[in-house]
Amino acid sequence: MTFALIDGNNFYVSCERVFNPKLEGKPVVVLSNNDGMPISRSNEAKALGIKMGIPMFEIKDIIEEHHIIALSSNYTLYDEMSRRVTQVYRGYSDKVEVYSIDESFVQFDNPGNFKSFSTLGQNIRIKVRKLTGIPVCVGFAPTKTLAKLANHMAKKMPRFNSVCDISAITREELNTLFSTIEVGEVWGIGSRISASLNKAGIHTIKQFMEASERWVQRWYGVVTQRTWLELHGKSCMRLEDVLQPRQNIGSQKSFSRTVTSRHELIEALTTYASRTAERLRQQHSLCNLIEVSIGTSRFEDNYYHDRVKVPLASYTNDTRKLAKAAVFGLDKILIPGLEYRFVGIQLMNIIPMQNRQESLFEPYDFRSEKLMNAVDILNRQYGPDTIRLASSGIERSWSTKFRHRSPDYLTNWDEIPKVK
Amino acid sequence: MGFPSPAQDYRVKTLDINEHIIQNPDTTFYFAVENNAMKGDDITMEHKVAVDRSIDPKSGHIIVAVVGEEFYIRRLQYRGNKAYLRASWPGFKTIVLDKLELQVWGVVVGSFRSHIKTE
Repeated sequence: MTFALIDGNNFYVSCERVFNPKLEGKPVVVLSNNDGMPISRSNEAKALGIKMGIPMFEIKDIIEEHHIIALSSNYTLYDEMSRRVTQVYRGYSDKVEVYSIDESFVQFDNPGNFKSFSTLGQNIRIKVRKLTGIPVCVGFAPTKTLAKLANHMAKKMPRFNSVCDISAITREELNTLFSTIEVGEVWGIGSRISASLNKAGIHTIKQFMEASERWVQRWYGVVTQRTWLELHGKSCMRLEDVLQPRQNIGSQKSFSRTVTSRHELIEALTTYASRTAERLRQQHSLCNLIEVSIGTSRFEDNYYHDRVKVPLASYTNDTRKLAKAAVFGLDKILIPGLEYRFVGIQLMNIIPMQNRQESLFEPYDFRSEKLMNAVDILNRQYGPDTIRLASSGIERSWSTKFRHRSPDYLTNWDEIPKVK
Repeated sequence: MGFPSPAQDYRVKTLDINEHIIQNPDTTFYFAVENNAMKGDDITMEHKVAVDRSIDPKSGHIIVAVVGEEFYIRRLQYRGNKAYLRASWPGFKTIVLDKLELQVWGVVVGSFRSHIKTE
């Protein structure tokens, strides 16, 4: 059994380049919500020293000096491109796990008609590029954790030419490579654990692998132990069934300007409540607990943030009930007069619809289900928020700004690319 | 309920415009045509085209090519080690490239337009 981890190079930027050849070969960045910071950079932008997650106002000068093109994120585009890329993978294997918008695990028993996994990987790379325009790197290994590492090496080390098969590397060579890579690069070893490992004298992957399994389990727990085992070639993680419903659904976004009025905060919160309720209905789930959070700017003095859990009388996915509970929660943590930067809602205690039991206090509302179905159908056809609660606002001046968003190339007939 | 239809066993899907033109929706994209360079092939400024990236471009295909940061729609012809991108209407120059220089975005599989303006 071999896992492949395939991911798009600079995925968001690559998506933009497919439909706008003017972006090729140039420094380009795609920005987060509110155009706050880069979340995807072309190689040319990386070469100019642009790092991920640096606030835009800090790099404004570099951007202007080098004529770096900055685009707002266009998730509609990236989502659809991700779907098409994944479809190409499915042509090679039906065991595909879409791990994130730009990464998938693909499971193989053998290279099939191809001479080797490396050859298979090159074939995949060329095919994805041709059919979708997206450049990808491929890592092959007997475990998911190693496959992620193989992908990292495929991307960062030119000798692999974008495809790395761990099992084709000799043990000695692998030891050498792993002694040059920091332990923090390993999937599942975050900054906290790697800082702690560093203190214990463990800096490289090789050193981590040389520690005893019991020591790792004792000081870092079973999850890190699992990572250690996977690095040693023992597979502990299956391919996930992607259609597993999410256990937590949340929506939290920063505002483009500070918001003080309760009225506007309710508008935002109700909008997010509607969106999360929609996702809940889409996966045929219900919840009976929500968490509302609110906060001022992290960078200002007197940073205030708080959150509160609001239980519901019964399991529901009705937008109105969730919105009502959200507003109730907001009033518990809202301090009037402060300049708020974000508000958020998280749905918890999510259960599949068929598991619900009627509450003593509230019989199941079938009319609500019919209304929500009708709302969802219209919103899907005419666009999100076509039908929405009036309390979620008509104008929405607080809404996330997308100042330099590229056209909806794949979802709007008026914005498809032009040819001459 | 009532009497089952005798046509039941012969029932197939009704006609769908998409299927007529598009062989592979996952690799097909749409472009809006900006000029009359291909008017001789009945593709005008009023038309949109469906472009399939999965088809291997051959001489005779109408393609979308990337030339100098722009998208062009032209008929492709290979001759020797050169590629010729020809328009089918006067006033539009033929683009000549080395075969290896040519960047084909995709092959035009169909064109379409509406004849009724909806307000």
